[in-house]
Amino acid sequence: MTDEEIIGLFFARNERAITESQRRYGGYCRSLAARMLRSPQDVEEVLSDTWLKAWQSIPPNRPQDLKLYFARISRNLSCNRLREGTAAKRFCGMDAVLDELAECLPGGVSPESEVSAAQLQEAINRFLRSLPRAECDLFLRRYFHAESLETIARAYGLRKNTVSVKLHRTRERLRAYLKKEGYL
Amino acid sequence: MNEFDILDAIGGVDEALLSRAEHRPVKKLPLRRFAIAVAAVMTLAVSVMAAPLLRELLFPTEPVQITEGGRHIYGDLYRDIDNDEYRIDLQVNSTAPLPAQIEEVRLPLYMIQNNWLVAYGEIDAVYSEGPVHFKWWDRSSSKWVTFEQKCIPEGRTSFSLETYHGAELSRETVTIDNMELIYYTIPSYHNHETWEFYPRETAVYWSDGEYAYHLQSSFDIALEELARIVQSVATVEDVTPYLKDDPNNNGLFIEGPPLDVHRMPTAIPAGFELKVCADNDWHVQWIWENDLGHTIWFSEAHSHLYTDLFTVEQYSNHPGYSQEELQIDGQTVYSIQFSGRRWLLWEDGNYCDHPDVPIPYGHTYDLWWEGDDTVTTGDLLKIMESVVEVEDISPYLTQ
Repeated sequence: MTDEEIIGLFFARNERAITESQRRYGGYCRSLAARMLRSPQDVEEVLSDTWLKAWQSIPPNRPQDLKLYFARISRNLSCNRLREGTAAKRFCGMDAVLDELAECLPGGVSPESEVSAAQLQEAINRFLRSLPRAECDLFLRRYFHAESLETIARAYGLRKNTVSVKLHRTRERLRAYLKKEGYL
Repeated sequence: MNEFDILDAIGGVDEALLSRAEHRPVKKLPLRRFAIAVAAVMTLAVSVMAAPLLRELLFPTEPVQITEGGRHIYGDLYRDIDNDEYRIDLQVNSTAPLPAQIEEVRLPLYMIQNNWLVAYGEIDAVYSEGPVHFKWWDRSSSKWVTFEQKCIPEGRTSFSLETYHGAELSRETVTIDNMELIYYTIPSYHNHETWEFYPRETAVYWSDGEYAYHLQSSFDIALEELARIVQSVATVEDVTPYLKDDPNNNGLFIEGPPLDVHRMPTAIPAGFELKVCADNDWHVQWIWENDLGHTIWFSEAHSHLYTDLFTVEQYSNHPGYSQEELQIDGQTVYSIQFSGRRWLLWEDGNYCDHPDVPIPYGHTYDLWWEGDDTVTTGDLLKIMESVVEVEDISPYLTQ
């Protein structure tokens, strides 16, 4: 079944939309959530919530890219669990991702900065669009998809250390950019 | 603001950027059409006949104890179909306490002492973080072997085993010196659409009761050789002599020195507004956008064209992908297109050397259209021809 047909089922309020979505993208969303959450139970709950959110949001939304639409929901639900501390013991790989992102902040955290989520999201979009293509891809694979350094290194034919250095430089740029734009 | 805010904000990134990052670069090998055709037929036949049985064998839902006696190694195998990757979770039972981090570096000395791979093989090591990782690589024959040592916190550790779409693993166990080894074979794989061919690989996992080891190679290793390698794994006091940089490493990220001359296209179609002009020293990125969300990206960089062409390969499995070489005023221009995207790549051809850059660099350009199929390569060539030198780009900089 194609993405268009699945979206058609959502619009027709046909519950088969969920089954077909699970069949087509369940594995993909599961692996994304599993990279962020350690507990299989958390992963399964995130998956269930993903289909529920999709059911609630399509329509009115009509995703251009259904796979990424589901990925975004799964990822954001996983993030919420991490943030709220409701996830079982954090996966060590995700600890590293969060520690790396903390480097973008002065002293790790800047509690006095009141920035809306939408503003920050737009700023990061602008920043990423200004990056060389490959560096942007690396950044998203690490911080959107939560892929390990080893996986990224293999995918790009790079050494893990090279990926690490590249990501470090991009984070430094992000920090400088957020500071310059007044977010930090 | 904290790291979670940034993580959340990245979750809302543009779909176009995400879509681009989703497609991994593909490592191309020289086309060997006859071998490919034979491999394709064989692979297809084997897959059709063996897939159900293999699936049952390969994807157990519960941990499976491979063997008993001696040192135990248990393996869970999980498949991430969309990422073409398997995750192998290994559990090792040991009576002694397991080190929480790598306290002793252990290497397969047999391979080092015997220059085992081939003459002119290279050793490339990543040791600065995470597990010990060594790679032997013979460029002339494209053969390689990697060796990894990992600690086993809480008795469990995991490895990622990247495979290629459509490739099914087969697994067997081998016992050497009362140590059980899990031996995976990744069959060769042929992508019918792109005519790309990936040779067969093997991956072996074992543990000595303290650390876990992973040996992966681009060719079959005879059992006798494998035994010699496994038996030779020993602690090295000083790993420094084995750490070597690969001078030719990585075709992707070759940064040149800062740009001394800047250029920009002047024939941007009406209705487009400059949204981004960012100077990253060796690379300047310009982006225009219109009300329909169509974008034109222009970048100039001190780089080498082949690094850009390497990046291009990540799109080669897109439906409708085509690539051609055009000759414009004696200059080679690479034209790439697929659904809603048009792309031109070119360079000035004047290469220079720089002590900080591993290969000669030049001025490379990249013009990218993203929107719909109404724009032709000819339209893009007009924009390309309008590129002129700009004395000062600071008035255009948006960040």
